[in-house]
Amino acid sequence: MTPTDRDLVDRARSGDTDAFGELVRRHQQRIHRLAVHMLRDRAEAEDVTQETFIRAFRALARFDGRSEPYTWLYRITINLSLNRIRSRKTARADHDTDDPRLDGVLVDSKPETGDPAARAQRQQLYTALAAGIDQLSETLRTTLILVCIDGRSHEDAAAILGAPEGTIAWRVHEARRKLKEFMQARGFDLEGDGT
Amino acid sequence: MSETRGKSQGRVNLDAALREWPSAEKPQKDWEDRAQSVVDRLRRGERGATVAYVADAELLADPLGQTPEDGHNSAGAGGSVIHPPGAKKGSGTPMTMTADRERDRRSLKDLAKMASGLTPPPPSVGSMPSGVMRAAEAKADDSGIVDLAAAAAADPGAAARAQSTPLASHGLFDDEPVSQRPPMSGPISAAPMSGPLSQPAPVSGPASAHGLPQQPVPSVPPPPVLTPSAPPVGLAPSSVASVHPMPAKKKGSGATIALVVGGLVALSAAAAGTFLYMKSQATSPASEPVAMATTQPATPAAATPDPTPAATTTTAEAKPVDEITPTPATEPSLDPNALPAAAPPSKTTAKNATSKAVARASTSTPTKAQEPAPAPKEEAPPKLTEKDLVGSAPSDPAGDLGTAMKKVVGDEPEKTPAAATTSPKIPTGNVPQKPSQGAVTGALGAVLPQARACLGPDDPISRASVVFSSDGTVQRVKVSGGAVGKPAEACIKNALMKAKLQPFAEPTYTANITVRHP
Repeated sequence: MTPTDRDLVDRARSGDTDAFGELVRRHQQRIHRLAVHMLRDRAEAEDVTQETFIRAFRALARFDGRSEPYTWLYRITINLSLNRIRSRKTARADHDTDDPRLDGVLVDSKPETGDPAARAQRQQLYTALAAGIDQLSETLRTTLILVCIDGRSHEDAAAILGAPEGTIAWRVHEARRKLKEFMQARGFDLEGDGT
Repeated sequence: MSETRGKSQGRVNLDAALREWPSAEKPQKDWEDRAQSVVDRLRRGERGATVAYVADAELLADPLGQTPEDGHNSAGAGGSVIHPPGAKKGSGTPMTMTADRERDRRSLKDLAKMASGLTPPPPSVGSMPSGVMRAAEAKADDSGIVDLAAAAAADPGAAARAQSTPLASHGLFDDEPVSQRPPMSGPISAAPMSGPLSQPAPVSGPASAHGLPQQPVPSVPPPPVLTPSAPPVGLAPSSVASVHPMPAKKKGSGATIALVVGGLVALSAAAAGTFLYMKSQATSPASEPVAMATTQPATPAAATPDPTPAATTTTAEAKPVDEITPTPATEPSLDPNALPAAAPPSKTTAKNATSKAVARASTSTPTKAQEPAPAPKEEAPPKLTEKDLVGSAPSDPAGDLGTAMKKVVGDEPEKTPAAATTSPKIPTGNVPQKPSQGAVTGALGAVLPQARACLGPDDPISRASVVFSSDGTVQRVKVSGGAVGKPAEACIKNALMKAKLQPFAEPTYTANITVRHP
């Protein structure tokens, strides 16, 4: 029987690093993806991912168990990412050609079609989306990443960010509205109202 | 990715595009190596590279609780934590109010504290005679409206009795034996109006009230602020005595009530007197010397010295003003003759000089006060206004003030001029201890729009700590939050530096303010 995250946390609390290693294996890809979208920097995302698990292990005694362990890990990741962003001397350029968020688009191993034009359109779409997301404020961007990209529910996002669900819903709505305006201004025809 | 673009129209599905955002796939071995690396680091006892600057409390705090950016009205609904960017995060304990609301509440609390300390207690409304005696069964939700028609219907004979009795109001009880009259504790002055209405429900009162010895009303000492229109004292006993042959109980209760009312009035007067005395204590000692130094320097009556010795003036409430005003007679280092000579050369106003002296006095110790101080001329501010010149115009010989002082306080041993300059300072009257909350709010509110304009729409909020000096100008501004290190920081500082307050006594006054984009 596969142990649950809580089981692994309980074992890790007693010093079982292997149990915690299993927890790392389960969640590191999501944590890394979240860090990439938050930080837009590969090296920093790698550091924050590892630092998340290190700090989480050291702070296991403070995990009260009221939420799922992964929400706790998400919270640590976001806090570390925001801390790093705020400590940057200069804001990252909006049009960074080496955007790690677009790695999956540029080297898509499973292209939708073999049509090069479709692939180019797809790259344009995600490049524009990345630029639009960069235009959002820290709060809206983080909420959008959690809910719309990572697929967290409003309830989970509320638990992770420490905001009411109503606030999360409002942020998502606002972020999508702004993103839609951004995309439409760049000639993208959005399906539905996009909000 | 099939949903990213609409099948028929080629349109972009925003939700699907975001949801299916492609991520770079790495070999499973890479992930395994990374996980093992984490475990190895843990086994080596590493505590993390960020331990030095990210505490556990900050690490586990709510990252993005409700912020002012959230435009919807859900503050407090979910108990979110407010952590403005750049602000120090606490533990994960949720707060149920925004930071601004908490600040406002603290401010109101401060105002309440100030009000309780400065204003006299409100008069006891509930103990004052209402004029209408309420029935015992009257409830709290009783509107108090008197239905005269219903009262007349309940007592058909009232009109007749009113015609046959000298005072219709007191005829109410004439048809009852005296022994059956209910004890009454209400104010006797209220009886004329309440008689017919209180008949269905006799007013009950403590029996002890009737056991009090009768005292003539004139024996009640008239309060100093009693107005001639105060009705209860004179009216009640005379009316009762003239109507009722045996008004022992009613008369006794009336006297008691009159005593109570008189006592209340006396208490109110005493409270008002205390308040006025405290207020005069806070203002008069300062205003008198100022007036003497500016308008009536040679008037002996104005030369009322402050009895507070300098050796005890360590707090800001008793600030010496040696440059301008005479010092107390009890001060050993006093030299009244030297004072007028010192004041005119300063070419400064009493206001300016006293404010500076107050600022110095608040930080000086009694020992320092006895040390030679620089001449007032050196301390005089270079800037003078026309008003200042008028206020400080020397009009009398230097010895007049000293003579006047001697007349008032008696002979005093001669002191050295140096000691006179360091004599205790009398607090100024027109300079408050610290600026009022309203003044601070107004001053900052005047420059806040400029400071807000320094921030862009997406800039996080910042906080500024504005330190006012005693002359009311901004001494320094410290900006924290999102604007730190950015051009907006200097912009905010420049804007807030323009704030201006009236001079106050304390050396500095610090006000914190939140700056966000308008």
